[in-house]
Amino acid sequence: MDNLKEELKKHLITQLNLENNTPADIKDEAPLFGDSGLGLDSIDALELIVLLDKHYHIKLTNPEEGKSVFYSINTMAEYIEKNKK
Amino acid sequence: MKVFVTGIGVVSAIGLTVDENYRSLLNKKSGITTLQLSVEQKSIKAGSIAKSNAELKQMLSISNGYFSRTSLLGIIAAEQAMGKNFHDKKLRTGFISSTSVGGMDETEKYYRQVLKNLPVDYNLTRTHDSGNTSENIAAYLKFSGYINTLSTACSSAANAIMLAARMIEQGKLDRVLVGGTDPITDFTIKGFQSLMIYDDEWCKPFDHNRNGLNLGEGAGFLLLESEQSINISDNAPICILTGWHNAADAYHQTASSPDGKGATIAMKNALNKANLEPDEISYINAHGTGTKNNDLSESIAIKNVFGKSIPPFSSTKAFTGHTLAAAGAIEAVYSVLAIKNSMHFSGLNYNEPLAETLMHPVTEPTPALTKHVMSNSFGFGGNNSSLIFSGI
Amino acid sequence: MYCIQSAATISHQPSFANLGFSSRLTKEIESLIKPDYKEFVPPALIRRMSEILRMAVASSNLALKDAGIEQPDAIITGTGLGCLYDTEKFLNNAITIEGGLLPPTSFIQSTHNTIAGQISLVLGNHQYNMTHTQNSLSFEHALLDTILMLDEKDGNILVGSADEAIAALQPIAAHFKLNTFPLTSGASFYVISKNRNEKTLAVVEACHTSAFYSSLENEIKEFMSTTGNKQIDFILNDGRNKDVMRLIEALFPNKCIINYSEICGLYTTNSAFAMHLATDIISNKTKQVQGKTINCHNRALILNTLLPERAGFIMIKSNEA
Repeated sequence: MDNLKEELKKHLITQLNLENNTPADIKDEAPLFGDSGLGLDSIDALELIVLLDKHYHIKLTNPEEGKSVFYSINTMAEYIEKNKK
Repeated sequence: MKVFVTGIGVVSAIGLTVDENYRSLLNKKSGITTLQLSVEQKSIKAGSIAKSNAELKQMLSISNGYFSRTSLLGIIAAEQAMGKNFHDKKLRTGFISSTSVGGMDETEKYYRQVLKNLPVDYNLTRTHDSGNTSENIAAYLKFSGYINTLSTACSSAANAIMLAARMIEQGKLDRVLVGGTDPITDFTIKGFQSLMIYDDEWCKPFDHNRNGLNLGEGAGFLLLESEQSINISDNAPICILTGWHNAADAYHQTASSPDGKGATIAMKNALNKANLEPDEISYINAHGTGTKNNDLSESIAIKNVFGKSIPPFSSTKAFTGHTLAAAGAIEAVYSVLAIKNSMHFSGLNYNEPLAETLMHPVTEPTPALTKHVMSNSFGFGGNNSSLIFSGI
Repeated sequence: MYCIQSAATISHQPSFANLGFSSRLTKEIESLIKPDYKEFVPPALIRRMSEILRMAVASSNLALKDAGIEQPDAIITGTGLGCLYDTEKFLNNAITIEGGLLPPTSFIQSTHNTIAGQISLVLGNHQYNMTHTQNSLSFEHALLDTILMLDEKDGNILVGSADEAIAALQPIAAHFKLNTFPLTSGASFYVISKNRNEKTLAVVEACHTSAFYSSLENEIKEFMSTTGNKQIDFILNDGRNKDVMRLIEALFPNKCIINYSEICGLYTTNSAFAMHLATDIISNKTKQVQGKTINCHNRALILNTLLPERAGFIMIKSNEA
């Protein structure tokens, strides 16, 4: 699971062009969206859907579901563990 | 200084002429069909025009030269709007068009050649840029002088019409042939799919269960003239362009603000420009793309502006598809037709109102005295425009 | 009387935040001289922005700051080829990624009005927001729109243009022999109002565009005639066509003619750079440019003939004239 989280952080940084962040900056439990977190927005949510498909072959067809799945690295990792093919 | 509409032209999925479009609207006949654009695509619903580029060229007696589909569609509509008018040294005539993807239909071909290491035809890139798209239409109709192009995504043509009106009002030009054009391209289909706002089914503007837009292609053009110009051209005015306004939403790169701020500002100020009270608007041709976001944002904005007296409104995009830059012009033509024929056009596929606003669009074409029509076009990047046309 | 209250340009010259840069021009066009974008663009937004967006947001930010304006009354932009980097990126993905989802960011940022849209987003500005895309005349049309707007209602208008070069342009330019000067990028933004004061850098007297004319000579003569046959002290031209340069020499004998593409490189809206260069020469009273001497700094003509049969005219004069 830790490897997955580390890998996720790296993918996130690449996919979302987070030039100024390293994996160490992204805490597992910290909210990714909104002002208090990494400050991601709805465009990033769509990018994360692409990320899930590209790297883990998971298709999230309902963007609304994204709110809970993408809450934090932890929730993302859990979702991937449950649904990966 | 009044701005008169003396000519209109349109080509869309529901007709190759103004008359064909009008009859389709009256008969509730949509032009949206199932389309398979390329091998890589699954099939989609779109409002395409069932004429190949070769057929369009034949219609226009064009035998050679590189033309994007965008220009070809534009020429058809622009030629209709120009009608029997000719260039006159006494009249300073301008040309303003608009497009969101320019000649991307041709550029896609070039780029495929490059990526697949095939022999490359560089001439396919000559039609890429927006300006060139307009120039090809202008050149075909022998325009020279003031030739301009605007590109603000879905509000492009409405903005072009607005700019034309301002040029006439300020006495910079006597008349302007103005409109917009966009083709269906792989680029835009895949683009809207990547945003997850492309409905796999036929779109349902202003319906509670709407699921996104269907793209369309086409072009719309209007001939706008000053009073002085009409005295010389002797054209009979169809109606007057009385109000206009453009405002930025400044909320998000693509989504419209939940409180419909930019749209509210655009509509309120268009009314001010036209010197009209909200309850004087007979009918609204709404932007109504069928996306969850736009239709809610636009509904709230309409409520903000019209309060309890919401006029009959509908979106014609379930007929034509969302024609992107051309939408503002195609729908301006429909607004003019609404006034000319005393008719409120309906939408399609409506069953249930949005829970948040409980607003019902027009569902049957309704004969009604139509004095003032508002036409909305709200674009990507939060660019909101509203036009008002009035009967003479 | 349309007053240039501030001007900000990112180019191959030390033009950014550098009053008097016209006297410090470099000969070799190496790479763009960029500011630290983080100072001018909100850090949270930079990550997504391609070069054209960074240049435009930074330049417009500086122009507003220098003019002492927080909210412009309109944002009017011009771009010839738009956001090419994102357009190519999405096109590439669209063709090469089969069956899977496509990342949406580059599609969102491919539209030409992303530039004006981003500026309004950063400022929270709800005013008129327009994008002119008439290839080489995009900036002139944006300026004409600005003039129209100021005549309707005075205010402070942010107007500018930007274009970016990408590698994919090179083989096309080579094929059509367009690369007489290095293909590059640039952005120039101005705050223009009718409020003439001691901070005014220069004054725009006239702006005009013409396409598909039969004689450039007649177009030039007509422009000069309708603007009162004023005395021009120096002329700027894109320099792409030697015949045009010769025509200008004949029509404006003994006047300094500056080839601006040689200074800033080639991009569709480089006439916007030329207006800044002219503004700077006038306000700074720069005497030597491109090895030529400018003796009088009252009035300049920027004649843009980057594309054949398309001409843009901008006439500016000194704040003191």
